[in-house]
Amino acid sequence: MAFASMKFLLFLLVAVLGYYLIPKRFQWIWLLVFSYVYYLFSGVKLLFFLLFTTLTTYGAGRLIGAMGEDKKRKRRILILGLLLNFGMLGVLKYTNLAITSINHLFGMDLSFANFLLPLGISFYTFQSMGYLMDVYWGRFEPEKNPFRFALFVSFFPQIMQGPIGRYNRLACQLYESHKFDWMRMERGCQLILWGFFKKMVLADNAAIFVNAIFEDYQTYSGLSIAGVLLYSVQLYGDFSGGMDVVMGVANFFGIQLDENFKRPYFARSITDFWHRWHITLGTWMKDYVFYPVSLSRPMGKFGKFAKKRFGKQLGRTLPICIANVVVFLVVGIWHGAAWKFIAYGLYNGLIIGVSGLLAKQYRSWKKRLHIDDKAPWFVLFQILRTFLLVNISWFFDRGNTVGQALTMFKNAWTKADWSMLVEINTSAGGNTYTAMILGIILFGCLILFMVSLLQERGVKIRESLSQKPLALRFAVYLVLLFSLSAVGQMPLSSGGFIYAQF
Amino acid sequence: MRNSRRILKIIIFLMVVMLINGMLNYMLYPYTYSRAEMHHMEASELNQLIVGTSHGKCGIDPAVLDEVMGTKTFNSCQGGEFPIDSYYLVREADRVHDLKRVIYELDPGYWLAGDGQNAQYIAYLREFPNSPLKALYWKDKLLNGDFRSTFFPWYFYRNQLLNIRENIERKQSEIYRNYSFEPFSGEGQTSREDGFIYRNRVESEKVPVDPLNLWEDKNLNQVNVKWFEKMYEYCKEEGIGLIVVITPIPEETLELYPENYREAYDYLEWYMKGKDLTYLNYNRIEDGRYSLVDFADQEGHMYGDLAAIYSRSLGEDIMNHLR
Repeated sequence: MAFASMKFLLFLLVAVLGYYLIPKRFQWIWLLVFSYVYYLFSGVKLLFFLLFTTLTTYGAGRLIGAMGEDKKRKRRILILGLLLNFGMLGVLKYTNLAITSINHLFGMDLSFANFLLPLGISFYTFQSMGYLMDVYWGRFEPEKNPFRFALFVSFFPQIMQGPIGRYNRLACQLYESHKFDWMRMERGCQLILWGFFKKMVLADNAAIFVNAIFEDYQTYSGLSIAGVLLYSVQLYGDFSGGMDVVMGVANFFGIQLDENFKRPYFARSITDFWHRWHITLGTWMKDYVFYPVSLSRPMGKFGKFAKKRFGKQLGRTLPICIANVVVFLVVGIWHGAAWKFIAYGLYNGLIIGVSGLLAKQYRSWKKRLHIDDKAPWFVLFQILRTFLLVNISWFFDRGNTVGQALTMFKNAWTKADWSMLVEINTSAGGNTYTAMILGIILFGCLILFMVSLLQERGVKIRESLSQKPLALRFAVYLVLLFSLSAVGQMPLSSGGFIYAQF
Repeated sequence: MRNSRRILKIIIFLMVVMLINGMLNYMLYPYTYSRAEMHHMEASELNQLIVGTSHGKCGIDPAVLDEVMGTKTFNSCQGGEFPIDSYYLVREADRVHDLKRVIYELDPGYWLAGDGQNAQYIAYLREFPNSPLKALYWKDKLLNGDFRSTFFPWYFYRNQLLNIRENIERKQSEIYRNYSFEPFSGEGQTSREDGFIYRNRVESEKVPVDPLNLWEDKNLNQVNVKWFEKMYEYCKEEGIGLIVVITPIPEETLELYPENYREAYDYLEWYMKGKDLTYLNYNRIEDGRYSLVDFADQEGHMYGDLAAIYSRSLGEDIMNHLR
C-alpha cells in the first residue's frame, strides 16, 4: 500500500480516528491489528515471514530471559535466533546472487530460485535482531506479551522502509496510551507534507533524468556528472522524504520514531556523513557489528600483534579500521544482492578505515599548515570534498553493475556534455518540458538548501512555523500542498519509494 | 472552546483548499471528449455497445452496423480505454439501457501495458453520473492510485496554462452545456453523436507503430486480462452477447513485426476459444470485400470511407455467426 495512494490515506484516516475513539488501554491492540492489516495488503503469503521473525525472536528472547546466568545456553539460543532470521533473510535475498556468481565463476547453468521477497524484511529483521542481542546483553528484560512484541516488529508506518527502531525507545511508546494532541497532529501533517514535497517535487522530477542517463549511460556518456548529481537529489528526496512521511504518520499515534536523516550533504567527512544518513542503520551497525567485531577476542589478539609489529598508533587504529571495513561490507550486503552494493559498502568502509589510520597525520598536517578546523573556507572545503566522495559512491548504488559504475565514473572525468540534458525525453501532450523540470529541481533544491541551512544553525523550522500567524502558516501549507500537483511528478508506480524495496 | 476554534481553523483551511482546487479544476481541466461521449451514450437509445480502443473508434461505424444488423449501436471506444474502463462502460450502458450485445474491439497492445496515470486515466470516471457503480469504478480504478488523481484532477493538465482562457470560455458556452462534439471535429476528422469518429482523407504524416506496445507473451498484464474476464462474466450473467473483434491493420505493419503479431494472435485465439466466444480477427480472415492497403497510419486506424466498408463486412459476419 503506497503512502501516496488513496487506499493508504483512507486506511490512515480510519486508523487514527479509531485510535483516539476507543478506550486508551486498547490503543496498542488497535495499532497491532492495523499493522497486520497493512502488511496483509502486500500479500497473505508474506505474512508467514513476518510471523516467523516475530515468533522466533520472541521465543528466543523469552528463553534467554529464563536462562538466568547460564551464559553458554544463552549464547546458543542467541546464535540460533540470529541464524534462523539472518538465515531466512540471506536465503530469500542472496540465493540468486550466489547462483549468478557460481554460474559465472564455474561456467555452470544453475537455474535461479523463485523466492518471494517480503516487503520490509531487511528492516524488521534488523530491528528484531537488535532486540534479541540487547536482551542477550541484559540491556532490558524480554517482552513477555507476544502480542506487544508483535506490534514492536510490525508497527505499520515503519515496517516498509524504517527507521530501524530500538526496543528501549520505541516499545514503551507503542504500548502506552496517547491523548489526542492538536499540536502533534499539526506537526505530523507538516512532516507528511514536507516529505511528499521532497519525494514528488524533487525526487520524482530528478528520477526522469536519472533513469534516462543510467539506463542508457553509453548514449548519455557526457551526462555522467549530471546523472550522479541528480541521483544525489533523487535519493535524498526519496529516502528522507519517505522518512518524513513515516515519522509524520507515527506522530499521529503519538509516537516519535528515531531520526534517520540529519542534513547529510552538510557532512564534513564520510564518517560524519554516516552519522547523518540512514542514521538508524548506522547506529545499528555500530552497536551490533562494529563493537562486537572490534572488541572481539581475535581482534584483541590482532591488536596486540599489530602493536608489536607496527607500533602503538597503528596497533590501536588497525583493528578499528578492519572493523569499519567489515561494518560497511555488511552495509553494502544489506542494500541488496549484487556485487555493486558490496563495492559500494567496501568503498565507504575503506575511506573510513583509511581516514582512521591517517587521522594523526591529518592533524599534524593541519597544524603545520596552520589550518583552523572552524575556518569557513575549510568547512566548505570539507563539505564539498565529502559531497564529491559520496557522489562517487552513488555510481555504485545506482548503476546496474560494477562495470557500469566504473565506466560512468571514468566518463565523469573525461566527458562532459551538459547540452545532452535537453535530449532527454520529458514530453507530454506534444510539448517538451526539460528546461522547466530542471528549473523546478533547481528551485526545489534551493528551498531544501535554505531549510537545511537554517536547521544546521539550530532553527527548529516546524516549531517556529507553528508560532507564526495563522495566515502565514496557511500560505506555507497551501503552497506545499498545491506544489505536489503543480510541479510534482506522478510515477506510474504510484509513489513507490526506493527504500521500500529493501 | 479552544477545540472548537481549532476545528474552525481546520474547516477554514479545507474550504480554502477546496476553493483553490475548484478554481484550478475549472481553469485547467478542459471540456473533454469523454464528457460529450458519456452524455450521448446515456441519452441515446441503444441496445448494442462497441467498446475498445482508438482502432474501434474510427474503424467500426455504428450507423453501418445498425443498417446491416437492425440494431441501435453506440461507439464507446477511445484511445487509452483499458479493459477496466470497457467493463464499467458496459455496466453503465446496461444500467441505463437494455443492452443486448457488446462488441469488444481488442487491441493486443492494451493487454500488455499498465493503465497509465494520464489524462485519459480519469476521463471516463469523471464523467460517469453519480451512482453506486461510479463509486465501484472509483474503488477499482483509483483506490490504489496516487491521491492526486482523485483530489487534484487538474494535475493532468497542469502544463496547459495557455489554454486557461479557452477552457473558461468553453465552459461558459452552449457547446459545453449541450455536450457538443463540435470541438472534436475538424479538417482531419468528424466526431459524430453515435460516438464514431470519421477520419477524413487529408494529407498528413502517417504515425509509425509504437514498438513499446508490441506483443510478447511474457509481457501480458494479468490485470487487463482480469478486467476482460469480468466483462465476459458480466455479459454472461446478464444475457448480453459478447463479440470480440480485432480490426485489420496494414499488411506492412504485420510484416514489420511478424513474430509479435503471430504470438499475440495465437494467444488470443487460444484464449477466446477457451471462453467459447465469437472472435473475429480480421488480420487472419481472408476478405475480398474491401481493400486493406489504405490506412490513415501505420498502426491501422481507418479512414471513414474504409471504416464504412469494413463495418458492413463486420455486421454481416456477426449476423452470420448469430444465425
